[in-house]
Amino acid sequence: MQEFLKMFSYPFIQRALIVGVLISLCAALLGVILVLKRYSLIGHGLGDVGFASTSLAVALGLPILSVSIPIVVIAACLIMFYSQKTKTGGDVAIGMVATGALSAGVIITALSGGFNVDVSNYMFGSILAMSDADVVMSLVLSVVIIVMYVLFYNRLFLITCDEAFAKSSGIHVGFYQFVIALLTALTVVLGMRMMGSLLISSLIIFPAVTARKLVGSFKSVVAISVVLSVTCYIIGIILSFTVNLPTGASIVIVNLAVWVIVTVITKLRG
Amino acid sequence: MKLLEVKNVSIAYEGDKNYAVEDVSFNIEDGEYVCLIGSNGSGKSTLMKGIVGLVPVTKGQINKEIAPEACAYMGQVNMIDKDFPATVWEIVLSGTQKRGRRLPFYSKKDKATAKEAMDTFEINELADRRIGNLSGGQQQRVLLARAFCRNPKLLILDEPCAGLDPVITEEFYRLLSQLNKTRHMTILMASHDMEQVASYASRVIVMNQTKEFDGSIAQWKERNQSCRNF
Repeated sequence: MQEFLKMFSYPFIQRALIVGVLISLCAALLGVILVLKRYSLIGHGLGDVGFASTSLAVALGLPILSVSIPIVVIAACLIMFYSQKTKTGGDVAIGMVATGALSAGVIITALSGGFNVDVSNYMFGSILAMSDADVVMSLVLSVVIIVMYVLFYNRLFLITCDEAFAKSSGIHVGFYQFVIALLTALTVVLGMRMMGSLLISSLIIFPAVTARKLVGSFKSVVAISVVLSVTCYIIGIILSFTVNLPTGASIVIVNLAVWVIVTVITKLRG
Repeated sequence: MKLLEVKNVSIAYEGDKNYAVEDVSFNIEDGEYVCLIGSNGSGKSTLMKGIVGLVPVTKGQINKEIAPEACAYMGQVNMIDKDFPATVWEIVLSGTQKRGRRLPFYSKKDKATAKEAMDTFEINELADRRIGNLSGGQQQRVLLARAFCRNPKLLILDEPCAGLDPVITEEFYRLLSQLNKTRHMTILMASHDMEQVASYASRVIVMNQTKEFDGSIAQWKERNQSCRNF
């Protein structure tokens, strides 16, 4: 037990917990909208773009967040724009952006010194990824995401639920789609260091999908997703530290396990 | 008083050379109950979408003589995702949202409006139910209540009864007729079934890409009769 409590005294665990809880909270909030709007793969595509931008930042010797944020935000807007334009365009755009970005990242990495432990960490996440500066940056951006989500909550609900009705009410749907893209991009960039750029989308998808099985109102789906997301994150981190497993993957597996349990229970209850 | 003017409107979808709607003109006057009739693919749904601004108009003009808020749109019931997690209350309340409102949250007045709309359509006891678990007729009343929250002068409905059984359809048309008479709400509805609509609407417009007929039910029946006799 003492051994267990001791883990919380390590600064890197504290940082991982503070940032991770905030990010899993943001990801769960946005995840509800993205999953219901069938945009859930956007997070995955953006993760790959995040990987490419990280490789670029490392190759150029620039701070990762300052390179990643603009690139990922632009990619998010482009994907949103294409999925609006044509009905099938969304997944095509995501597929192209994801593989294109991943390849670009791999080429940049190969040219600038080849694969090493760092690259593997960018892809699959690391508990050690957070510096003090990252914590501050993450805190600020998470607060921005949460405040914007709360302010736009009713609008986002209306657009998620019935876009045609929202449009016919004169509401500028495009603007809110941009807001969703922007917030998702920020969440992905913040989360990919710890979760890994290939695994970050799980934080967006799993909690919303699980929560939706449990409750009936939109508000409670949002609330339950947040609770599930944060809980799974903390359990995943503990698992990762105590059993010495890769961080991002442990968190995903915990999320998956919760989904399986909930699915089985709801099936048994009929 | 004229509420809506559709003037030589043509609509073509992007990348399609053919017009889905071609050179259609008509006016909607205050207090009318107009039914836009046509078979599938006749362009009536496209025209409705053009009127409420969901698709851009290629040629011609659509002039609304009333504020955009005074016009409410109700799409097809079967467009609702059965698994969407939202309660009846959440959906009806979202109908009070307007463009340009500064308050991000619902006011007491919004909640009172939503409550009144639910009373009007007798869906109060469904407030906490998930929309996907309701019957088609109940879902329809929920969507109508949501549109009603905007206290519209002009209600635009696009095939509101698609996929519903005839009894519910009949009841719905009667409800619309009541709104039209007692609340003086102008109604423009697209439908593909002539028989049922005929007993309630005050005017029919028949579409087949272009406008084929525009007049009262009696005139429409007379025309059909003379066609048959011929």
